[in-house]
Amino acid sequence: MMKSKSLKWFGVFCIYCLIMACNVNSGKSGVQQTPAADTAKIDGCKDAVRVKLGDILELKLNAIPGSGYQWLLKDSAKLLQLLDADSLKFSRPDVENPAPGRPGFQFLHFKAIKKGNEVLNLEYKRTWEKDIEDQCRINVEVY
Amino acid sequence: MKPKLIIAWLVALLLISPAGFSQGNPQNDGQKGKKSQQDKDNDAKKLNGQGQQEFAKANADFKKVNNPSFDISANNEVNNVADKKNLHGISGAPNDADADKQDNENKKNEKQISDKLKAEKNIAGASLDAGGKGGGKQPSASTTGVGAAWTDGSFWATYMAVPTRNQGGCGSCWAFAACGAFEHTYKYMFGATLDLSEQDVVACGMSSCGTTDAGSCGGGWSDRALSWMTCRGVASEAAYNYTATSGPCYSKPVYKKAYTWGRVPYYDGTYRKEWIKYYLTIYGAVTTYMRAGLSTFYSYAGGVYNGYPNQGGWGNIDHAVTIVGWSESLQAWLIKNSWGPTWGFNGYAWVGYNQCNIGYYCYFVYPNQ
Repeated sequence: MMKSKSLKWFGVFCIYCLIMACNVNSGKSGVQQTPAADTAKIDGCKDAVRVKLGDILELKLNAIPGSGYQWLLKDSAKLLQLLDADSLKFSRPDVENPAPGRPGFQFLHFKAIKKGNEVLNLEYKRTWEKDIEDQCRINVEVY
Repeated sequence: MKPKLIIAWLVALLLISPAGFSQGNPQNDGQKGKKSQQDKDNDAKKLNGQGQQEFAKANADFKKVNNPSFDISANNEVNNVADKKNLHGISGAPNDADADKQDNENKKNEKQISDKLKAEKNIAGASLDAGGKGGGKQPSASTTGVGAAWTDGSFWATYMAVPTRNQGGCGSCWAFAACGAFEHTYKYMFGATLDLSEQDVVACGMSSCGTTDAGSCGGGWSDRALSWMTCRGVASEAAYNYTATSGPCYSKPVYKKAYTWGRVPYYDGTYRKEWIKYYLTIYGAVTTYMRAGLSTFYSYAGGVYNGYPNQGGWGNIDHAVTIVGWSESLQAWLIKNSWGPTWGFNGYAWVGYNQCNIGYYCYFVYPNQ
């Protein structure tokens, strides 16, 4: 009797652990979690940007989704961490039935992880070509 | 007690099943499901000597891709790629019921086009007036698959010998798709390779002989470009080089003109893709709008792209390309992109039938010789 009761509680404990494990895992499997930190939204390529440590920096840059070009980080940033593993996030033009080839925007998200100053180097290019179509350099201060 | 214990353990097993931990979301941004190693091994076992050779080439190409977001697996269709003509795909005519739903404009033109086709060239198994004689039967797609056949030089030399173009950083895909359809159809019908001026279309193109701007580097419409080619014609690339700019428009001599153009029947349903195949059989190429702003599509370098199932239909498009063939075994369209020859395989790609919103807007063009 005692043995089966223990087994029962062991089973309940296992289920609880598995449910907790699933909840933790779902955060890593593509479900976007709302960042607790504030987000500094930057529209276009600015000369300089100040971001508070722990905050999110959102860059919105001009891009044509149907052209094959995308904004890529040239050098790895030390003070900022690129948040999206897949950084190719375009917004659709704000019109009904936009014409194919119409320019839109690409969004990049960074988290400020260390205080200091650095230059964020971004290149607008195709990954399969050497040529660079456009560049964006932003002096970032994390305070 | 025991039944409760069993239920508890069953629930526990259910929770640790792989579905509970699935990664990626096909509705999101193009994550593609992967075959298991066992499935891949089974596919590879089906290959004969020629198939293994083709697959080895495809694998070699695949290894050149940095951090691929997709996978490739063996396809036994590559065991026999001798019948090159079938690689393009030949389709039967769609049935009566659907023929009635065609665009009125197309219908008006059909008889004229048919007569012209007959007079100029008899295209195997496909005359427009054959449409509607299916007696209500479902159209049959007797296409042979292609697999990794793009590595076969003679296929490209015979059917696809129209160089891949590059639109650069200008949003002129719509003009490239229109010129691409014209060039491929011309090659398919008359055997000659043309190089039309996309710049002429981008800078000067107007629909309906001058009422509406066809587009610019800020986007545009392939149908309007085809309308312009029919009304006014288009200059040669030699006369009007591509500069990836919206203008200005310079008046250059007309090099080629279209006899007519039209829209492939576009309603949703079982026969939509059959109509596209039917028009491909006749014209060799059609333009299509699609959704391409996807990281997985950007990084495509071979195999069949199945990374973005159709969603949002009509409005969810950002790009224009040319469809130049299809494969039943791959369940995919062969598209020609305008991102240069180093994207995809020689600038082309296989895209699954129900992917990227391809096929909602397709246009054909019939060039004058």
